[in-house]
Amino acid sequence: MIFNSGDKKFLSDSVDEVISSYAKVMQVRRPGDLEAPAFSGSKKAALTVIGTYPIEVKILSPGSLNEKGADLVIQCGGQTDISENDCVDIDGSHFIVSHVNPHVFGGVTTHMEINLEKDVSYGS
Amino acid sequence: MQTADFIASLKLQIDDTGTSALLSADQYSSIITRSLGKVNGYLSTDYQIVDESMTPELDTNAFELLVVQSMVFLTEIMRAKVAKNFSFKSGDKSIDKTKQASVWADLHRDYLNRLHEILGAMVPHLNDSTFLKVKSYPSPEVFEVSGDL
Repeated sequence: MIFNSGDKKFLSDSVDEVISSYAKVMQVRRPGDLEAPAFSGSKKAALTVIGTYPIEVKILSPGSLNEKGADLVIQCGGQTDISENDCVDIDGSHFIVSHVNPHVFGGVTTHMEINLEKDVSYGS
Repeated sequence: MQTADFIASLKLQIDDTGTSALLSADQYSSIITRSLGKVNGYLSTDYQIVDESMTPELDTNAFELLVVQSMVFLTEIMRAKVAKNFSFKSGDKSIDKTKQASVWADLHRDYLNRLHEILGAMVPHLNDSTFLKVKSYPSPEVFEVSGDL
């Protein structure tokens, strides 16, 4: 089957609709250039807010999470601007993106599965 | 009545209140313009849209007729819009919206029948031959072929 632009929009819109129905969002922040060293000597990358996007949190067993090497697995729309090492905030918890797995159908990235690790720098 | 208020009431009727609109603003405007023209034809009136407002003020009958006629056009557009829906599976996501076309078709038929009822009551001189009353959409006839043909 060959998909035209309308079909491709239907593909991504349909999956977006499913993910949005979970009514949960994440904020994505991206590390930029390293800031100048502070007096304490530590270096900290400035985080730029990329955007807030709807997500679906996958309910997985501890064994499955362990297998994926993730603390949390989420899914987001195919157009979401997110990449590895981005920082993700969900309900006040802070994570780092460890893996992005796009799902493609008909030449369209319908959605992405994201493995998240807890951001230990927040001490949580 | 402001056309924006009328569009809002149409959206409410089909629950088009989410973030992703079912129809565009242009499509809603087109529905109102076409429907108002039809109402003028049915009732021999001269309603117009001037500065985003319908003038003169619609009376109860004209308003009811405009609502139902608009829903006829709206459901017609939605039928065409969802006609090409297909089912697919991507990763763990399985989507099937193929039944939407028949749902909108049923609604379209219901509103056509409602329009006919209202017109019958409001404009008695219009007889049944003037308007098409849709009982059901035509389906292919299936003839059994007997063995001795």
